[in-house]
Amino acid sequence: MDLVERYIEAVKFWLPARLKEDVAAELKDDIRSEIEEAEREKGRPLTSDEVAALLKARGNPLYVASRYLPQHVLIGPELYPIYILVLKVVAAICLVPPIVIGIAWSIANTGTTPPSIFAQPFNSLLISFAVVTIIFAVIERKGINPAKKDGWNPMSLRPVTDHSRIKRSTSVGDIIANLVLIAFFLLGYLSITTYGMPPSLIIANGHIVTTQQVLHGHVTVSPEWVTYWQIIVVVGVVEIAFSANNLFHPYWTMPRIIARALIDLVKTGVFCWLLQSHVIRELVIQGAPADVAAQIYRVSEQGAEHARQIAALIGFFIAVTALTRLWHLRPKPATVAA
Amino acid sequence: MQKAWSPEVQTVFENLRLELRRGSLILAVLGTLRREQYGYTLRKTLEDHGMAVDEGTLYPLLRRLETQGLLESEWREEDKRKKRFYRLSKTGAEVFARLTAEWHSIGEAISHIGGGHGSR
Repeated sequence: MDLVERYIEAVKFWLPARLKEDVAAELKDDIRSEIEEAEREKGRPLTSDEVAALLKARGNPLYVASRYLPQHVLIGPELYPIYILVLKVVAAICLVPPIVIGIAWSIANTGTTPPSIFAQPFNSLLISFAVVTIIFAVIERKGINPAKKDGWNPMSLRPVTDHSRIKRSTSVGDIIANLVLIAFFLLGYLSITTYGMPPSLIIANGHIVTTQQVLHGHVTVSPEWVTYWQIIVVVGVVEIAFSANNLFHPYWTMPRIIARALIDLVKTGVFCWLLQSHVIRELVIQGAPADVAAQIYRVSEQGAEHARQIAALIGFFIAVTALTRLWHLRPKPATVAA
Repeated sequence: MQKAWSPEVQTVFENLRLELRRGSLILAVLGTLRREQYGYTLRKTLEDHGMAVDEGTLYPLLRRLETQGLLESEWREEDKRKKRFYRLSKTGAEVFARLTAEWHSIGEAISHIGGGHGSR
């Protein structure tokens, strides 16, 4: 049945959102009915090869999905789902990086506006759309059809992704990371504000050098550093409990999504507060070029200056992630309960 | 014995045959759905009556006919599984009656012209 689920998922991928669940439910029932009939005739369950053959006879998922889509004159129904997918990818490539860079540029250069950086993406988007459309129209004219009924292998279908499932590796990773953090805290490494460079291994100017080459070095951080780690350790304990619970109940629910977002927002807020404290107060790297310490110090100062914007950006991604998870939780039409 | 055609003529014939069947299929579906059925049994009924149709054609057609108001559908549980049952709507029944009359008149016209088996 796993192969059937993968097939249905692959068909759904190419369908518009309004059709996905309804078509999937009906298609699933039809395939199950066909499998049951075949099993009745054979008097035994079908092997996975037989199920694969049955799915192959139904056709490539793209071909099946295309039959549910309206007819288009320029781009035929069998190419149309790929055409739409390519347009979406092109739109993302044309718009997202320049806009993110534009926003970052505006933050870094407050008061000035990047004149062309916002105008260009839309121009390139229009040109790209036109080029993609022409290419697809030519492919359509030439009769090249990637959604042919034959020539595909059901066994090569991607596994079904359950967006509501919390990966075991994520929960285990969170627990290990927080345990390591707590261990460092208990050993006292996070309760001091001055750190000396290890005697035998010092990183200077991007290269590992030994004490024979470098005499000494130390960094002094703000007093908020200690408080920051105390808070993070407390949050870490909460996170361990949260992740341990997720190991046994590995599905997102609304309370868990909210809890995850709150944990992340608290960590972001505390991080913002730490940045604002001008973390690096003193930095001495003897034996390294003079500007290395100055550069690191400058980064710390810029962090303090833009801490709110950085926190806002991280907060935005946390909110988007939470909303995406909530969206995957939305109630499906009654038909899906089949 | 039928004369063997060139591949080009065979393709033309297949395309025309498909077009002919496509129109007839709507009539067959509407006629079959005077009695409520779900997709798979409908497909089997059509197949048993010599109108085999693949699911990639049937389900989108059912959806289209429903959108046009000729069919009604309802999700119901049967054999512990939710199935979508289709039946002819009131409008669908009227349209089917007229289409059938049209179909007979076309058949008669073709016969009179001399293209059918009953040509004189």
